[in-house]
Amino acid sequence: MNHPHDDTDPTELDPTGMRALLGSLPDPAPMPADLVERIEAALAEEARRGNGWAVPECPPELRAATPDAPAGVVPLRRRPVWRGLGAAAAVVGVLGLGGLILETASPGGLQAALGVADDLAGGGTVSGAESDGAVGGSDGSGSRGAPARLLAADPDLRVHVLDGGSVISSAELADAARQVPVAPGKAAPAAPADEGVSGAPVATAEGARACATGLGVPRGDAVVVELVVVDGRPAALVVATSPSGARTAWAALRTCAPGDPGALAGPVPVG
Amino acid sequence: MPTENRDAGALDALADLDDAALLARHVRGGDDGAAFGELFRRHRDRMYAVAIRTTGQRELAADAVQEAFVSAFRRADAFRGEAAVTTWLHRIVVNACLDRLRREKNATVRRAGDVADIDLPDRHDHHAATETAIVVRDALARLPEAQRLALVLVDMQGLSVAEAAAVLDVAEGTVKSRCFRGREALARILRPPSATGPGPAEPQEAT
Repeated sequence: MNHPHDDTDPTELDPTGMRALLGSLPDPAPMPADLVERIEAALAEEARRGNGWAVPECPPELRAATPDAPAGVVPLRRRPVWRGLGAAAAVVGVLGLGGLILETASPGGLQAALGVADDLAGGGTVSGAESDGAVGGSDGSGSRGAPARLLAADPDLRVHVLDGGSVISSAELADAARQVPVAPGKAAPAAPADEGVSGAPVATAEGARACATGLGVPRGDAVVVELVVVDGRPAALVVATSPSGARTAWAALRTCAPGDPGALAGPVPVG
Repeated sequence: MPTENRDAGALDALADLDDAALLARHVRGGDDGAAFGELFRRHRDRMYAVAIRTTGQRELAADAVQEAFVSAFRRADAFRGEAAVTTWLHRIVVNACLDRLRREKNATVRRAGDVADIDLPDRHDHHAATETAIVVRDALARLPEAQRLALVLVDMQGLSVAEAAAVLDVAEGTVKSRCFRGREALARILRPPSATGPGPAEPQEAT
């Protein structure tokens, strides 16, 4: 990153040798990945507020753990520099599986960017998709498909909290967990949570991490918590992804805490 | 898939645009911030480097460069095209760094003390070079802020005197003077003890 310049002014001559010395120093390392991620999240938030850059970003530590994208899924971001990472492809893959659409203040922006995912969802890769906020599951497969809203995210805690509204039974915990995205993105909450949701301890990033700790999830695992209804009770679907990519799911009460995890079901491996 | 092709084509097109065109597109809006995202991708490492070199502290540099990019995102319409986009970005980053430094208590002490905290590549492979870098950067941290900034921009970041003058909002002659004085001061600090006589004089603040 030291760039020789073409200033030939005699006053730029370097009798001390200091200019050459400074120019020979090694460059600082590239911007760390976590800082890149942090700034991209900040810019996404700026865009969400009005300028429209709201593409969710997959944390690098989660990229390897992301399930394989379905055939034909294309990267969400196709800039050459990001192509090789496969992160965006994984995000879209997850979106295609789960039909997740993060609501933003500029739906034309993000949702347009997710057009490919929408196409895939409409192509039959999503099961049980229903209209807005549908509560059902009469076919026994639970109810998914309503847009999940990102309530909280904390890269340091490696936690995302979604308000999904799905209705499932404890017997289908693993199936439901498969539809929870590994890394739903880092977009900031689009809107204040509903009163009933915001009151739940598990609806915050800190609360979600505390709940996961109570369930025995190691600190190093990434956690996605989705607020759902399990067996008719308001609950949290907790999906932990280990650094090796292994995923495990629990259903717990929304009051889940380290001293009282309130597990309703699980742990079950998520294949 | 038509959507894919259209989207891929649009993003590839961004990569072909120069910085000014990207910034103009960002100001026009309606692109979901993609144009600014491309600018960030292009310049993030260089801006991080200038932040590290200006503050001498990783945490401070990280905060400053984040603040700078967000500020640039918001204030892109303030760019008048009178200088290169990189010069404009440098200016925002340097100002953010200075602002952070001034808000920090005992900033001078921390700068000197945290020099070894800077990321240096190949620390184990080129031990001697790394040691040299630490010594020089320690010396650099002892210079008055104005001289240090001039040396960072001109001698380390490779900006021309004119560009550095635009970044620092001073005359070109002032940049040259600061560089000259800064190099002299740096040489005095780094001179071996046997060659210093009564000892190196601490550099004086210069405008």
